[in-house]
Amino acid sequence: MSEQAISGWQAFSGVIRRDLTLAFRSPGQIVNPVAFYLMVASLFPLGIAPEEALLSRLAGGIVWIGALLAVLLSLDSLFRSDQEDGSLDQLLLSLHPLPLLVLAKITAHWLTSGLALIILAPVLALMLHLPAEAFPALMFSLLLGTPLLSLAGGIGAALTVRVQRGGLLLTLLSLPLYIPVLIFGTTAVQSAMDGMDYNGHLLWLGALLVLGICLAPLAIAASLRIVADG
Amino acid sequence: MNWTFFHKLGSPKWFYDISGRWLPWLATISALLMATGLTWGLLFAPPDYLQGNSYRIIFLHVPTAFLASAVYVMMACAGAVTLIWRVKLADVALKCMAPVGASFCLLALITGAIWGKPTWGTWWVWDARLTSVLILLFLYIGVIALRGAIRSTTTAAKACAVLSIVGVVNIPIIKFSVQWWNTLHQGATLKLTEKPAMAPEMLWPLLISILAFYLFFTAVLLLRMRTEILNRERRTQWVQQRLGG
Amino acid sequence: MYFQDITSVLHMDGHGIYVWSTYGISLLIVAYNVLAPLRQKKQVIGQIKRQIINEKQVQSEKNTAVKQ
Repeated sequence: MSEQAISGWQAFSGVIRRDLTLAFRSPGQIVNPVAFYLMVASLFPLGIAPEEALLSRLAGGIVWIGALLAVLLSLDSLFRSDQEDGSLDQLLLSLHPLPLLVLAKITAHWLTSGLALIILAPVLALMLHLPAEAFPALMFSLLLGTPLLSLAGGIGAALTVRVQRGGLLLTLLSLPLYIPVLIFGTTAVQSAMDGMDYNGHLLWLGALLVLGICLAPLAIAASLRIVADG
Repeated sequence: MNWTFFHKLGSPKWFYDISGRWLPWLATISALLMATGLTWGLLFAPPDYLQGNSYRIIFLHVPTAFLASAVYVMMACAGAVTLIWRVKLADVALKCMAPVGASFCLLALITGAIWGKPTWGTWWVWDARLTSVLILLFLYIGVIALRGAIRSTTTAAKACAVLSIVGVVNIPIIKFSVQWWNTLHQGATLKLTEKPAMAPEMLWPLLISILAFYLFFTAVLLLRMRTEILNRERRTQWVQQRLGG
Repeated sequence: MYFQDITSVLHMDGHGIYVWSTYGISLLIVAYNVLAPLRQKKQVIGQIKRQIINEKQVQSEKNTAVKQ
């Protein structure tokens, strides 16, 4: 059966299905970032103060930072395990466009990381006394922002996939890309808490997300090919 | 269109010879301009109406901040040339620009922080511009760290090129979002430079200092590039003849 | 010159420490940017020269071995 017999969409969904199956086989891959997320969010009240007034002002930022760090933690599994067992090389040899397959991997990654974080966000927000009017802003900003975190982090993950112990370098490369996302996400929550309109912030996140979906897979594919030749 | 000129431009030997001739001139002129501009600004320019004498830090802060941003953009251009036209000299330029740009970025941050103390009362302020420069420093460190983490020269060249291009696309996004974040959290935006236009007694030493720092950067870059070229081309005949013969 | 004497230059109406520390740190960083490349240049040239001398030696040893 030749590879041309599979359409682009079948290749795309095939990669997603494969990655999801692999992720569910090793539950640690999904559970660890989630557990980390909960723990980091708990560290803030423990480290600062458990007063409700103070926490509710910080709650949006804490949830967002927790999500950011959790996604950062899970990025390592995006390409590294495939690199180790040789399936990344197979991906590079595929006749289908690499950016398409990369987008599939990122989608699967988001489904196993960002999505879980979004679902748990209300729990964290309750623990941190986030005001009720800010909940929708938090959820929508995370919904738009976490895919961006996966996309932007994918670039660093691709560049460092063959670097020994590249986790720290991956964090260093990803953080400047994460900062605008963090800013728009948290200011959306902040505006909602102040009773103001937060649509503008969400629109900016949406614009960045569209930009990311179009450009990040290209950068990631180029990076994967570059470090593969080395 | 004389394409042979561009091919010559890519030749390390040609670059080595020509930069050898330019370097003494660049070094001397930049040293003179720096001495002139900084002495003028430090001792001869009148003090600022609002800030007094502490504003004299501007003659260091503005040139280094301009350079920090400009050098990163130049790095991204060198990266694009590396990826599109495979010119090795462009990668030599990128590799050598990064530490110089990073040191200027650090200097911009330090001078900005020290300037902040008499002006705003604290050593660090999360104002839009200083925060953007801080993130720019992270971008520089990322490129330098990536270069060090990849063994192969050709792979490192292309990887750093991609990273610097991604970074340069990110810079306007960062600047905008930090500006956004800052205006939402602070009332009035505090500025480090005078608006309206500066008096000529202050403007001239500033312009001279900016030019001096740009020329200084070029001189240091050429110096570093020459060493890097010798290092990479050490097996070629022209290097062996120059150093052995 | 705006300032009257050397003490007012150093003092700068109370801002002297800020101004002079920035100029001092800048001088250090400018000096680093000049000295570090020069040192590296000396290192690299020294390495290459030693390599050339080594190879000449090996070559002349080979020549004498062939002659014998």
